[in-house]
Amino acid sequence: MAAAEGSDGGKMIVLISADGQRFELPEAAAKLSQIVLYMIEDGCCYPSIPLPKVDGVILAKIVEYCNKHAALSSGADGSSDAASERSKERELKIFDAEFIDVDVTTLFDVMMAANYLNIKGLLDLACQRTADLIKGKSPEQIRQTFGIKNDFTPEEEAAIRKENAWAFDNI
Amino acid sequence: MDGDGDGDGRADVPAASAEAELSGAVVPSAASDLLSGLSDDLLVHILLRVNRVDSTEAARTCVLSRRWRDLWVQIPSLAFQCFNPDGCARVHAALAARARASVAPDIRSLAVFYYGGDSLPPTASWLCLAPPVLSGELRLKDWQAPMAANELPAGIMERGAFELLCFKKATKISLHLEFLTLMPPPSGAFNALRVLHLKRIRFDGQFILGDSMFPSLLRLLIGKTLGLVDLALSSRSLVWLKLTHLRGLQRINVEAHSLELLGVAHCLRYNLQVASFSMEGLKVLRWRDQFDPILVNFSEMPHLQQLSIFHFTPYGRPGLNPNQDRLRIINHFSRIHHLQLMVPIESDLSDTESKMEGITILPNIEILSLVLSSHGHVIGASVLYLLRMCTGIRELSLTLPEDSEVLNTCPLNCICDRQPNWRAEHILMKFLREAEILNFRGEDHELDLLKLLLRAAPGLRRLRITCHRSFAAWDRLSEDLQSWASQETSVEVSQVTTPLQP
Repeated sequence: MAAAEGSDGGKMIVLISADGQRFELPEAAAKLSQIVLYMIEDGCCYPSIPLPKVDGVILAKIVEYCNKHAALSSGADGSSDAASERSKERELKIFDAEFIDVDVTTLFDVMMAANYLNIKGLLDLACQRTADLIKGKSPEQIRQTFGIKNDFTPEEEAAIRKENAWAFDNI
Repeated sequence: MDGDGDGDGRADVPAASAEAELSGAVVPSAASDLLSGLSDDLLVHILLRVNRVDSTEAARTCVLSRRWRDLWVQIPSLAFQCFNPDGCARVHAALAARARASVAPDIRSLAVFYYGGDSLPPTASWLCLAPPVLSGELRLKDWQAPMAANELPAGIMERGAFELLCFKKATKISLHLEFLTLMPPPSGAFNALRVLHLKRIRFDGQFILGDSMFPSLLRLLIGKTLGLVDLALSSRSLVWLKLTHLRGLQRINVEAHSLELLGVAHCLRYNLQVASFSMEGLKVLRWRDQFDPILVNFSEMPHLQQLSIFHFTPYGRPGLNPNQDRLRIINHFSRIHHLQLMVPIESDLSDTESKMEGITILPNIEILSLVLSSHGHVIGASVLYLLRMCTGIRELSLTLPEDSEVLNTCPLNCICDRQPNWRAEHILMKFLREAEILNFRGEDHELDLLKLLLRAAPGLRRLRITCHRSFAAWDRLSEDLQSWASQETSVEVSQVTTPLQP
């Protein structure tokens, strides 16, 4: 179980996944989710916040993301000089790249959860990763990557290609 | 935004994972099509990120399946890179495809980068579908081969025209045309336009900009023009105006009664015959240009709060004193609420002389800001000279150089410290209540200046010092200051925290 330490003595928030797993994380990390932030502001966060649309495996990932980003957000540890800011930014960038390097199914589960919980940074990260998987691929490769079924007849597809020849000609 | 700042619109992904993607080892084919099941909003969010400098790749997804056919047209921000005239035809085809799809929303941003040399096709042939659907920003940039800053390549004068179409709904237009001749539309109004940037543009002699064509314009930048001889601006809405490097300008007339900020740089130096500025509402005037009171006529500016003067130089080669020209505009005013002077001290001061001696009087000033770029030279004598001319100030702000690479190349007996007795001078600034110093490095001559200031200002209530990031022992400064300052002075010492600009 990915329970975080409240080492700084800050308030802890408990999230409950669809399959009943408990995740404890610092309030600052939980607040990265707009939905959770609103619940905290409305005082609806005790003893715990149920998240019936997110299962435990994915919520564990989400909690990992929020913990890392809250811990490394600017000024979180009181140090504020420029060099440490830059090194934190670098660390976050490396963390993000490794964090989102997952199979397509997990990627979409994370994206849907980030969308539902309204965690903008994570949603953008997941969308960018998906866009990167599209970039540079032929239509057939994109279909393969994401399991998209081509429901055009060959004639229809030829007609669409012809109509949008401008996009398929070499630039 | 482009997270890593490398301009490709994407955050960097480690090379290892990119390789894995291509081989397909890490990312197995998804069994069921989760992607197509996402909402239109999320898919558009994704398509927007496929390629931020050219939307063509996103448009190719129209062939994936029926679900995808009309998704790309919902992208609100389009960008195109055109390497030849055919590239412009592609922009036209994309706009036509959007026009055919009923679900296409208005375009919030359209950016076209043209690398095709001298042959930019007439805008009517490729941009004509944009005006009715563009309700945000238009950005057009013509990229020629890179050239030195002040050099014009051969043949630039023969470049063709750029006919600006009338974008009734656009809110911002930014044109960078590498000296194509701008032809404004013969009629029509840019009703929604708030921001207009015109850079590296050639004009056909005259440019008239008025309320009938730009009724909502708030901000206007005109920079680096050729052929602009006569500029007439008349606007009730304009609040922000910057004019830079208008080569060959002879006549300029600005009537903008709502204008709050005017910046003029390198426009009036060579060919000016007459300049007239009516701007009763002006609050900030930034001047980096010649000021000849016979040629330049200002209206009354009762609300003027700040005058910024660039290049007020303490040392220069023997001969003309460029400060005399700066003094002419400063002394045009009898009273200046806030005077800001950019004070550059060159790194090599050999064979220079002091240019401060000519300054004998400054207007009544309440706040004095000095922004110094001193290349490691001693600043005390120069600062003191200026302070002596305005001892009645209430606030003083000193911004010392920020770049970390400044080396103290100042040679022995350098002119900057040839009269070291400035340290022992006494001036009295009995009205000075607040002083701040930014990028303080704690060097001996800086400390000497600080002590002098504290002696000179017995009424100082607040002293704020923000130390340079390289000043390791900055936290000990506070104690020293408390012992030098009077009991009534509150002393705040901190260190720069903002990230270094790249």
